[in-house]
Amino acid sequence: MEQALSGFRIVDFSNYIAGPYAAMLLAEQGAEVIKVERPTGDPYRGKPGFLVWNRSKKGITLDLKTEDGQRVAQELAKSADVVIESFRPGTADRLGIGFDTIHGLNSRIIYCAISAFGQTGPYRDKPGWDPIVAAYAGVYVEQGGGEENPPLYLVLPLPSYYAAFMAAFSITTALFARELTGKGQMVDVSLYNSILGAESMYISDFKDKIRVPGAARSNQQGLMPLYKLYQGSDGKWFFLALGNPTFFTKFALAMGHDEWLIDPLFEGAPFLILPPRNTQLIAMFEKIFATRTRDEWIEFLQAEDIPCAPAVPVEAFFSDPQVIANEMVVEVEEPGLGKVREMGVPIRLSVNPGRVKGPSPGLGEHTTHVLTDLLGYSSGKIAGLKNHGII
Amino acid sequence: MQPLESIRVTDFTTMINGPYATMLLSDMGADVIKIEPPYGDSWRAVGGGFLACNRGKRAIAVDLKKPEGKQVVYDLIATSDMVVENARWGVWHKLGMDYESVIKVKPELIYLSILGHGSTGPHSRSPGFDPVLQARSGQMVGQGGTGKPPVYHAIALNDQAAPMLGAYGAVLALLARIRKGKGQHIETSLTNASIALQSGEFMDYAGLNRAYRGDTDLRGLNAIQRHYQAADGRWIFIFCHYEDDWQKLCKAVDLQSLPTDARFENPEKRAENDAVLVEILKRPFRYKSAAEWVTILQQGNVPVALGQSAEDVLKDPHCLENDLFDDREDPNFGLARLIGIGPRFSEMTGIIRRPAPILGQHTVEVLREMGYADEKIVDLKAQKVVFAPDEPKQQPQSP
Repeated sequence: MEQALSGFRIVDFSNYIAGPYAAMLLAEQGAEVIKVERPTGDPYRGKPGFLVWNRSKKGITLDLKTEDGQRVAQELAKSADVVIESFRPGTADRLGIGFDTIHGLNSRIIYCAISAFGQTGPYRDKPGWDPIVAAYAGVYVEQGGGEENPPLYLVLPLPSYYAAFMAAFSITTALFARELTGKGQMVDVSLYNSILGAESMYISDFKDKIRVPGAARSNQQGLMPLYKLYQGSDGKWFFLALGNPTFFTKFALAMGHDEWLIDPLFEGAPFLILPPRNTQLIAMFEKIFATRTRDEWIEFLQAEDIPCAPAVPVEAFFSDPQVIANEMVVEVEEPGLGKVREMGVPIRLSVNPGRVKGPSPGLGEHTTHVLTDLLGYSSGKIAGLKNHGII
Repeated sequence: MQPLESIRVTDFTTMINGPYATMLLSDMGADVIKIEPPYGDSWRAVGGGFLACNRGKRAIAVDLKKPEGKQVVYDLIATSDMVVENARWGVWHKLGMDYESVIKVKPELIYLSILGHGSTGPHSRSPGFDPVLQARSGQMVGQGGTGKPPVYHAIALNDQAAPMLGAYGAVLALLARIRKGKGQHIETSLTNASIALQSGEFMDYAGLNRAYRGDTDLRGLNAIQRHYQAADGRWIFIFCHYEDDWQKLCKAVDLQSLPTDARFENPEKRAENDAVLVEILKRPFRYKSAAEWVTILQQGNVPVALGQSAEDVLKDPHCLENDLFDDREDPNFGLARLIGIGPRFSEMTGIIRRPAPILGQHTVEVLREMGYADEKIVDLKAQKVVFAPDEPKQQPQSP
């Protein structure tokens, strides 16, 4: 066993982001992942992210709207440890690859259904677009600053990304349980539950709850004076992150203002400086930080061990020495595109390290290989399936 | 059953990104014992924040600077399957609690480090907080857009991603151990999480057209994938992806001439005249409430969402029907409603055993379980090696 998931086979019927990304994370910890696409391909083919979310997999095409196509899919699932699908609830059943069917054929199967809102409940049939989930989950209204302010749309598809991580975690947990019980099962992971989990600090209710003014409200640079974006004299931005009382102390001393430590204006530092004191202090710090350039402040603050960072575009992160030290930039040769630089493996296991196994598959690239090697189909049978447009 | 019910975790973590990971493990049944210094996890000061990532755990308070305190923790680790930590790299080395030191106590131990930056590299010993990585990784500039101020994400997005990845790594290691019998060290970081949360954006190749779509004042991506304000002041979000969705939208808002209007007849034209289209579409939405529009658009098969706030989510009918909330009496905050366990399994369940513990609440209980005699526990308390509340409050426990 070279890697934690070596020897496990995953049949991945999923499309778009969350399902493919989860399957990729599992592939790079050793699982053999066979991506099954409709003859027209995953609708996200052509998006740059597709290359990452589908690398390290084999790809086959299969028309699940035909009985013969469904039979092939079932035979694949029978040989697998894990099935992943991301259809709207109910669709997989119609395509002959629902949990009951697959579990009937293979009682050890871990069947992960990834959907927008889960397999049950009144929203289950809503269209599964990531921003629809984010809107319901409060992401945009909270970023905008609550009900009094317009919502702000976020460009990162956070619900899909969190669902991918939670699916990888849940599938592995179910595989671990199977080692103990021998039983397979269905795992229901939704974008909605995953993003709500990530918002658990905001979405809570108890007596005397203090709504920390960290969310944007009237601006998008933060409203906690000690945890906020500021501009240097050159107009460039940096984030000051005094994340605990110790760093506030270090900061006050470094800035030569020991009196801040006993000033009632700073009561509740760093996170609970409530209005209107927060805006008073922000105005004061804006003036202070306007006296030197951004990079001068960064250099000064970092030398004093005070957490802060310049706000830079994503391109700059490729050459960040910490990113390189973490081996988080990999170069993948993508047919037709050449060298693509993209994310590495985000978790490192010391004994069983993961690795990027190769580029994303071309549409149907491994169909013949998979049907021959895994299912033992004859070349005549494969030719027949091809002629009928099933593969 | 709970999948991780036989697993014990010694949990050194504080703030968000570590405690959230051990909470995910606890939700799956692991017995998580949180070790705190005598003054506690500094995140306790942010009540809601602490509650949101420490439920289900037991807590003991130990002075690790005393040799007797170290011994208590080594004894606990000897009974554990896993250690999880999220301190600045180097802190646990000084205290003799780093991976190499603790595997001497328990060779098959799994040790998960959720770091700010990494165990090597120029920032490995710098403090790591979520927005530091939001800034350095491009997330803030990506959201702010070219030439505009960067945007601070209200969700601690990396602090929430790193523990999900860490929990995944921890279970991978458990699975590897059950198959092959070895423990190991697993590492992830806010740095890695910030890239994993931009997996579709952290791309670079010849010919890539990198489009910054963000803005500090962004309601959506275009006129038909955007927020609109309804008559009651609330917002709805529409997301028309297919040409068909656009046609259905026009029908549902009763602007049936729009699809044949030369300015909007195809995606290219609509992109050219986006601002005009926004103004046209704003009008109908002003005449009915957000809830009415959601119903109408749903009936017309137009992808639509109600723009909910955190308060709305707490009453969300879908969450309620799916039993997603955990309502529980908290020793400090009274009845508290939090997000429950997300993933659902057909053959096993998650479990939330108890509310977030108060500092040192389970010190005596855990030490007794480890076989410490009562006199020894009293002695350790008297010497201020371990700490327990003098009169522990009686708490309702879930079954």
